Amino acid sequence: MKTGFRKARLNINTIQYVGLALVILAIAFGFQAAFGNVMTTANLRVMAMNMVFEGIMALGMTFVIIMGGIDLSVASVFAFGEILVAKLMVQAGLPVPVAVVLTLITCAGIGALNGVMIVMLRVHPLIITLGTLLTLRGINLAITDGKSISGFSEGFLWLGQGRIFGVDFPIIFFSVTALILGLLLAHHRYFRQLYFIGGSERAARFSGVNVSRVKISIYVLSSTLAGCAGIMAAAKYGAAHWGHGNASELKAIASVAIGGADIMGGSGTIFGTVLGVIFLAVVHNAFVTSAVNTFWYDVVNGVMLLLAVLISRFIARQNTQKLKALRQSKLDQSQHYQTSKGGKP
Amino acid sequence: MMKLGTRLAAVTVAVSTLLGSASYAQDTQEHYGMVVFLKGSEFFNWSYAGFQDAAATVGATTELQGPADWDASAEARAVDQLVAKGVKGIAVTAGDADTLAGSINAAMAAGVPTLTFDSDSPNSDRLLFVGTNNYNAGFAAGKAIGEEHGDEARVGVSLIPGLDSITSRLEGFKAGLASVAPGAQIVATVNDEGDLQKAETVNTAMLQANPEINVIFCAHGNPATGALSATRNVGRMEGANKISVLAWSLDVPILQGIEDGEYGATVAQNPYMMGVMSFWMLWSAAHPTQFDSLTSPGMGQVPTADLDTGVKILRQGDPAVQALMSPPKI
Repeated sequence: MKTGFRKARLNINTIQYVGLALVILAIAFGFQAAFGNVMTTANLRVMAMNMVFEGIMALGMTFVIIMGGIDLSVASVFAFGEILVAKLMVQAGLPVPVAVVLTLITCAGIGALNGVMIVMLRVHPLIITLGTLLTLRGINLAITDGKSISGFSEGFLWLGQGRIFGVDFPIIFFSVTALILGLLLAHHRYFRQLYFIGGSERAARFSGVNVSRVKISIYVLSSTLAGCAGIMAAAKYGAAHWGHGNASELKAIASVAIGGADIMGGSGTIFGTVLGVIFLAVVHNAFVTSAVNTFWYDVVNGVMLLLAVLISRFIARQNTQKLKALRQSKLDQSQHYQTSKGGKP
Repeated sequence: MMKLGTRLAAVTVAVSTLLGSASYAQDTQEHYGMVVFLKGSEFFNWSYAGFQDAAATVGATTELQGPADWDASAEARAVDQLVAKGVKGIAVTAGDADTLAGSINAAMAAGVPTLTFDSDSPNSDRLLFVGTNNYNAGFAAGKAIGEEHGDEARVGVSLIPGLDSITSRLEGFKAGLASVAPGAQIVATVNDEGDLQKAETVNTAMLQANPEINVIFCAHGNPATGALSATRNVGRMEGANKISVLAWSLDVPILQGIEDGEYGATVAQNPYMMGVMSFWMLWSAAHPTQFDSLTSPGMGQVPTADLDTGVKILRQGDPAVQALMSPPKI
């Protein structure tokens, strides 16, 4: 009997998100009940600011991973963005907007270079972006002599320390960017192509998708977002230093994977990544709140990452089996049709 | 899948509840935090051991926070978190002086006594700095070399140029050497870039170019092993022409080398005392008496000058060497 409306089907990804959200809530409320001081305004603000820069990098990383790539260079681009904007303002004396724009253009250029090398040389993005990570780290050290740069104007510091309606500007930047990119990824044709490329790059290419152009543009997006995060971090800390953001590429990748994206490409959402970012922030905060040795923080993150990868691989296998079953049933139907018409199967 | 999520949530709540019962007893105690970079390093483990031991004498509890790598921004976040948590005081070693200034200022503005130890953030509003006075430490090292070698001392220095701490040590070293052996000379200085292999290369070149050198002064923690290898490379690790290497480290391999007679001596800072004194300064600031601190009204009295925890020049046979060879575990 038809009821007149579609039966609600719980998507397996939705279940994964609900599970992750429940875990986050359980940790937050559990530690609030046990230790207090978790749900205070001050702690929630600190918790958000603790992961906001990695979160911004994770947004770009989501696009890269859906496309089947990886971008290890974001941590170095992050520090490079800090240092370049600081040098342009403090040493070259450029006004804040000019320094910021030039820095973002340079970071975008680094992303373009990553993309072009990946496309032209046909080398795995892991190797190319690892090379960029190491090269830029060396450059960051060399151009600063290992020292930090400080002495920024109040106008620049607002980018990291300013608040709008009581909310820190970097958190607003992260939220608005996540919303815009999430909508684009879900609805815009250009970004929907990423799922196609991540599922099968060859098939996408044969279908007329300009894979090279899409790839380069996504690495540009990833580096630009890392540059944005670096600029805001310099403003937040009032200093640019080569050591800032060390290993943040791993946190960004972990956020995306914990958020349910398939690390092999073809699946993932901005919403899932945001959940992954919140999970890492809440777990780290829980360790500080409970005064448990933070060495265990990496253990929990690692286990959660493995769990997330296992679940996403399980989902991918389920989808493959469904696809095979569907294909088989189509074949069976076709054979049945031909048999019933008296033809040879 | 839904069951998996629910189970995970249930397990998390159960673990949280268990942790909660353990934490209840702590609520009534004063709690202090220490923030370091390179968390897990022997040096800062010593500091935290001192911090813990001092806190235990007044029934206070402590925690150690900070990144395992050299990321000062992660330290700044740790300071912010401890303030939000409501600790009574924070001791932080600044991985980068400028990066920590904002968080230290915010902590002080929030009424949480905050000081720096070992590595300072001089432009911040910190209560005071607890650690080695680099000039004094360099002076002690120079004096020790002067007393041992007299006017015959010909010194090569392995350092990283441009760092304020190392520049102060070298100035102190020169003054200390001149105070007891005016005829002694610093023959050459080399840049080891803080890298062990580089230290071996540049020290070997220095010894080949300046065969009169009979002492290598390592002005920071990293180059000692490389400098020792350099003496081996030029055949002067033993015998009448032996070059004496003065290290600047508390690491167990260096201490073992002192015991084995490979190194002439080492400049031993006192990280344990840095932890002890850091705690007492914070405790004092958190317990105002009838007169407030001169520099931080509303807080208890602490010295208005930095606190020098001193150094000791350790040589073979010193009982302190054996004691330091069993570093605390955190």
